[in-house]
Amino acid sequence: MDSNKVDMFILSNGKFFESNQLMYIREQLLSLDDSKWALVQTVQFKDPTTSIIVSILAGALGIDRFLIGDTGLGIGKLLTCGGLGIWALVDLFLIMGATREKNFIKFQQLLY
Amino acid sequence: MGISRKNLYILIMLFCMVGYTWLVMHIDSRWVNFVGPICVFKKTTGLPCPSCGSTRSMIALIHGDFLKGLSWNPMGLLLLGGLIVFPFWLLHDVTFKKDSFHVFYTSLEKTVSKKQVAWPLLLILMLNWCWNIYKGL
Repeated sequence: MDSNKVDMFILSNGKFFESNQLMYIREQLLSLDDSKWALVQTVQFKDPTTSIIVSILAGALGIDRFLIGDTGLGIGKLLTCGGLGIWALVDLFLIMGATREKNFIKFQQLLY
Repeated sequence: MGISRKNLYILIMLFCMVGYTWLVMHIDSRWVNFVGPICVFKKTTGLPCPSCGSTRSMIALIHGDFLKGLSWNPMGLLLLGGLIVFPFWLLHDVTFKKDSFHVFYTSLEKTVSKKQVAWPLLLILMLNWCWNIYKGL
């Protein structure tokens, strides 16, 4: 794929991924066929900022985990009242990374 | 792609350990007032959260009072069931090197994510929550 397009993708979607994943994503996109560009461009990624706001507001109910697609963990968090409050607190620090990880998995699924 | 088998098993084991410690702390009268209610939601809003009352429910169930357990919060039954079943299930999986629990977990996740299942569950949850607020837990 054209390096201009790839850089444009990285610029607009960089915040959705971990910084160490960006190089890999760039390489993968450069080797990707041009016909996939439309697909790559239209994929919606979850914003880590949104998930941390949700985690602060409704973390004790597990809504943040439901949001990023961890339904099972969300149920666990909901049933235990945010893991007795401890898990809700820990998740404040983990949720942004978890969101970026989910985005990365989504990106990888897109390639294959 | 969901959680890996190893991570899931560690997490569930941790859950069960904390759960049993929590239960013992609430059954033994010396520890009852050591922690007290810790629900963040209740502390900030003053309203009970959907799972408030499940500790009291579990304790009533352990003492054999089934109806009282259900009337505190039906979620207590789910949690107690999980606490009893999961350790044995994990032990079975680990000793026989199987991943039946992981398979169960992923299929459960998939089922619950379906719209036909998710909406009724959400409705039940909301009704249960309303009941919690009505009871003033």
